[in-house]
Amino acid sequence: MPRSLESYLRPGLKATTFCPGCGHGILLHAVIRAVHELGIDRRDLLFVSGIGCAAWIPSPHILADTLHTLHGRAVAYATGAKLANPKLQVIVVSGDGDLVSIGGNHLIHAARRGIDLTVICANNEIYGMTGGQAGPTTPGGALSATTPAGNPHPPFDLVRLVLGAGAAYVARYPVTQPRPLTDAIKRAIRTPAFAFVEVASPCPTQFGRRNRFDDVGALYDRIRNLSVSRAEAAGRSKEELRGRIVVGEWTPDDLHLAAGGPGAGGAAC
Amino acid sequence: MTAGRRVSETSGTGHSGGTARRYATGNEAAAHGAIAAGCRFYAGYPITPSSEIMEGMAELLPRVGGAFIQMEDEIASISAVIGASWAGAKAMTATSGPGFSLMMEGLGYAVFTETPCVIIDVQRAGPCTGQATRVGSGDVMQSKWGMHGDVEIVALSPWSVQEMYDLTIRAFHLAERLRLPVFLLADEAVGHLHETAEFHDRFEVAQRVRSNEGTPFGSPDPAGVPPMPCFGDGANLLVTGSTHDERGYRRVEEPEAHARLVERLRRKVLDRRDELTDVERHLLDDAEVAVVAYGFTARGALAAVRELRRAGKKVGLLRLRTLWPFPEREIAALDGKVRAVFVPEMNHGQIAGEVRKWFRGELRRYGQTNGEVIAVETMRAELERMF
Amino acid sequence: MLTRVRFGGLGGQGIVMAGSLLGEAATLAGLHAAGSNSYGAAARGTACRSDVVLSDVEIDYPHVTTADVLAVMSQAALDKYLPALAPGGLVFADDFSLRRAPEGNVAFHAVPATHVAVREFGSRQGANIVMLGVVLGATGVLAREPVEEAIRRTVRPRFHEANLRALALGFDLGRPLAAGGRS
Repeated sequence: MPRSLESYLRPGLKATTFCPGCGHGILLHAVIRAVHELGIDRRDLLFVSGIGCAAWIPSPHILADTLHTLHGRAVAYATGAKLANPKLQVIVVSGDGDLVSIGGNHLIHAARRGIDLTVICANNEIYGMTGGQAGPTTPGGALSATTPAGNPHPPFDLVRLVLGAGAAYVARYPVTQPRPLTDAIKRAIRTPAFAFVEVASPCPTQFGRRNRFDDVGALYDRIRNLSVSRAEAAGRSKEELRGRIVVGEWTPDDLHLAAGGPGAGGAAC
Repeated sequence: MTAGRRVSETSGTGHSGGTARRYATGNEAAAHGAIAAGCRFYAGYPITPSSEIMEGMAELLPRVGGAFIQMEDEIASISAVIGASWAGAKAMTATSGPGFSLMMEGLGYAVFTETPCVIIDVQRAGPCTGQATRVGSGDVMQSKWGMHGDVEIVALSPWSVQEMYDLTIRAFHLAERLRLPVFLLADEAVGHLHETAEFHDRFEVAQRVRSNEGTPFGSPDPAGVPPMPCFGDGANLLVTGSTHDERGYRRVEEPEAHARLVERLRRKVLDRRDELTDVERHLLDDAEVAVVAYGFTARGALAAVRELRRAGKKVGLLRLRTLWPFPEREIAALDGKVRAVFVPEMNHGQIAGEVRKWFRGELRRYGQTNGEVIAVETMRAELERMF
Repeated sequence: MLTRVRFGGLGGQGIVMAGSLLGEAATLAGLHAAGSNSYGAAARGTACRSDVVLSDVEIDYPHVTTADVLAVMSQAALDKYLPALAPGGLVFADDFSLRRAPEGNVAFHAVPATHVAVREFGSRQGANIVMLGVVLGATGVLAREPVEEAIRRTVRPRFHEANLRALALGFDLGRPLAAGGRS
């Protein structure tokens, strides 16, 4: 991270808590860069997170108001804060298990209400902090601590879920595309209604190790190779897109489209 | 209104709307009390028999520029309340047994992060869905011990529509002054009771100290209440439900840090027991037998006591208006002064067990969990057997 | 002065409204009032009661265990609540659904509340207010004016006229009963 952005880091922290090779550090940088480029007054920034590795992206790292809440509840806490002080620019950063499994109800209802929140979901396809258990976004067939014979269930397609629930703006980018990711976060923040950004962020320690991506580079290659843009995806069949990460931006006008997602309907792993 | 009250230096009167004499339900009175106390945020989820509080807030809050939201469940409700409180609003929710159970984790978060908020639990006949429209008082222990870990909380117990108004205001006063969730443990009988009550402005209610000076999660005084800057105040707040130091930094592996924080949060309540404790004494001066009661049950108990007095029996009533912290000194003071104590409750001895810890004489308890209030004649008959 | 009034009937008959108006009116008149209602899970057709305690001093116990005045609009309510009548208490029953008058020495009055409502308004609605008027006229527990004011304050304006008229008709039915005795 460049020196110019260091003022966004809380003083006294020596290193992040993320494992070597974790994608969350890149996402932290993208979030900071986005709010910096938008020129948002630091006093108006509120970051809310739940429980899990991704919840530690804003808390304690970002030097702004941060609310590190309970597992699954970040969006509900954020809703209260935003309604009580509409001046606040409220950004939720949390993980897939937190936001979509235990917190799934809050996510869809916040999207339905259209409250002006930006929700950034770091999707690492697994429960990292608790030791690599399967989550709602774990690809079908993937190995985890609780799916030793492969995940028997399909994952959520978060873009379709949140768009279907009423979000005004939805985007999906992997951390391997930091510039488009940063721009998407900026657009999400500027959206004066509920906006959602799904970020594919590799977890070498839990997902990679269990699914035989022995070096971190291979895991990043996987995400890079699985990613296809909306334009590229447009001409392909559902079967061709199975397990692909379709990246881009969506609005309610795209509700008729099948977006696909990381491991949507089965992973390539 | 309430004896023994102290008010922090930063307090001010809640509203200048004068006094309105009204015929209202307890639930309506609670909503009016909340608005009078300065509540400007409500999040909730409909549940019998508390929903009229939510409906009242939906109507009243927009008139005073406050925010109201119906959340997707009670977990979301308490979450939104805590978020709103940190954003600077006096915030409240109301619920009943099943919803109260769902809120437990969030309430522990509020205790641990020292978030002022008010929770009204209009108790109904549990356990489980039980009898949703009927009365009970089975959440007394849950309010104290329902959260995991050791916490000290404040719980008030109203017995009239007037007290639904007055004690809601007091709950906000204590919540803001001590940075705590404060419970109003009402019951269906009081929540749905209609009575003539005064919605008055003769009260003081603490205002939060929103200073950026000092540390938001600790102060040099071990029992002290730190100032509470809010989101948007430029304090770069670090709020977490993990064990934290005075500045909010996570300290999740230091034994002393955890012990120190848990103890400070306990002391914050326990060291103020005298200030918080609020009891009412009726006909106790020469009593041989004392009834210890709370909530609507105490209302019937007083009627039974008066009937027995007319029959020459020396009996009095100690009414508990605070249940937590438990008024142990007031109970201990009965020891040696009265021969016996009678504790009627709409549960099976949740407060009687506490009384037992502090009163060594004869203790008779009557627990009723049939969804009905304990009849005056039932209490009178129980008391008569004690003479 | 302490008077305990119980209205009883079926859900949908406006029993709770009658009790609420009496409590509201007593408060407007400077008295203390306490009211409590009981009804089944269904809003319509199940047994229902509305109790009101009126007093010139603060009320110790707000529930009604024995009633000084019982006003019922169904036979079931009459049968159910009669045992809770205080000694010397008064009973008013809508004669529309009355099949058996109580036995024994009870100050009992059958009144045509529903008949009057149907005759005047072409609907049973309003019978509850006629009954409330009967109670006021016969017992003098409260003057008519505060009840009229309570109607103006709590009832939607387009129903003011009908409710005030129903109250007046009931009051006139009740006045001759003020002397007591059976009718």
